[in-house]
Amino acid sequence: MIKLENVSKVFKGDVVALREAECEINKGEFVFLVGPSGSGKSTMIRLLNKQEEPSSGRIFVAGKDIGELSSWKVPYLRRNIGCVFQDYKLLTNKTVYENVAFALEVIGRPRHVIKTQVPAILELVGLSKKQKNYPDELSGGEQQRVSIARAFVNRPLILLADEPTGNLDPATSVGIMRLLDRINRTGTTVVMATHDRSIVDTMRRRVIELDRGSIIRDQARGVYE
Amino acid sequence: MAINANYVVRETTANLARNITLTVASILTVFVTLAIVGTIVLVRQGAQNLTSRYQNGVEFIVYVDPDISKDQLADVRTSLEDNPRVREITYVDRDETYADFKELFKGQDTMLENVTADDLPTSFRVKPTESDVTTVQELVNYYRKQPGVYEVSAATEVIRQLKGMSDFLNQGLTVFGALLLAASALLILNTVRTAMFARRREIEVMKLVGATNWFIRVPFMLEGLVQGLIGGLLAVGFVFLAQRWIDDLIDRGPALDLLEPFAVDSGDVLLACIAVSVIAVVLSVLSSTLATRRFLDV
Repeated sequence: MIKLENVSKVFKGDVVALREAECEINKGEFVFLVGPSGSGKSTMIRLLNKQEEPSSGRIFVAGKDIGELSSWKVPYLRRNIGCVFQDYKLLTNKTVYENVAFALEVIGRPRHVIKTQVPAILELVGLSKKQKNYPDELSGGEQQRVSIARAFVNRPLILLADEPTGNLDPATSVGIMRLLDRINRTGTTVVMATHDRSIVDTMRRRVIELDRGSIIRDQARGVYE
Repeated sequence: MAINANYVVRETTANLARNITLTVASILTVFVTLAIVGTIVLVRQGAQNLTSRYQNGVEFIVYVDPDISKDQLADVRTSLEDNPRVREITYVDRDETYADFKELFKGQDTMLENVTADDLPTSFRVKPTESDVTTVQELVNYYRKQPGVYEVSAATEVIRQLKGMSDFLNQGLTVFGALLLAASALLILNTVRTAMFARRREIEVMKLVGATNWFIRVPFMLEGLVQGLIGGLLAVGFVFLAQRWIDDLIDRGPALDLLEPFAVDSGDVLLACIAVSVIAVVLSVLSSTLATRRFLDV
């Protein structure tokens, strides 16, 4: 599903964010990216949906070299990759329902599809009763659920999560992880960057550890360190 | 790529309403600009009408000294007849001139009593081969210096002055119009950019969930287009009013009779309106395209 071949990313001023990274992630896998701040986790995630271009090396997503993708095709790549962020990135002037519907609307899905898909996904994330609320009326955990609903409503092949529990307390984080686990069980490949030791140690999934841009460990059913 | 018409209309109106002050500023600037552009087109057409009207049948009159001898008169006639740039001459003798004079000063008895036919100069009416203003002026200047010629009078100077005035007006307005066009373009560009900046979070989310650039761009481009079109429509209205106003002005006083050929017809107005509308569309599409292009780079 995802393959990195000798991928490096150097930012201006010779800041090496990723150094000759090699890895392959199969369909349906759940992968944690761990490592200290600035080790390259976020860069790796941003490379996968082409928010960043690698300085060298090749990246394959769903069998396609995304470096060769012309820019007008990038949106179609992103329709297959859901994204969840630490700061949720919800639109504060839209309700929960509208936030999720927005993701379908802007990729041109017909209204009847939106009308059935959005309530279904809100049911899945357990927010059916809050669909008319605005994001600032929700707790952090609830907001992250909305964000996950928005990322998953289009049933993407891959879900990228960049520290989705970074702003949440441990109990709430467990709920979010249950949700991501459930999404993973539908066959969606999940790649999650995290600092949360207890989550990694409890879930026992594949762990890729980064340090100053290099992959220093790739372990099936791994722990934080 | 399916673009939902509903979505586009909703987003466009939301954008326009959100920056209402900027939107109004853009529309007004476009209006003033295009009103000036329309006026330029009308003035240009008017100047063209004017010169073409006078260009048919430009002639000048060579007055001969009243106390000239027959030989000298024959010399002047030969000189005119032999000039390759003169097409046709007509000699107007004393009696005819006096008849014209009486007609001209009808009712002014002192004038008529004191002037007899012998006091008046006879003249040649000269039609040049070319009606071009400069050619005519050259001929006029030439005959002024000929012996036996009392005075040469021609309409060329008046035409020249009028033309000079309208050219000056035209050039001034064109410079002014060009500056205003630039200002309008920049203002639309900035209004669209402000709208995009206000919605940068939405744009970010749209890009992340895979909305195409065109999908994101279209409502913003339409916003610019709507501003251009409203401004353009107002300007078209202005051009119509301006034509009526000029017509009224010309009708009002004989002092402006000279300007009568300057009047523009409805064809000219239509041309001005089409010019205004085309410029409105091009201006707004160009500036909003420019505005949306840079912002979407991620």
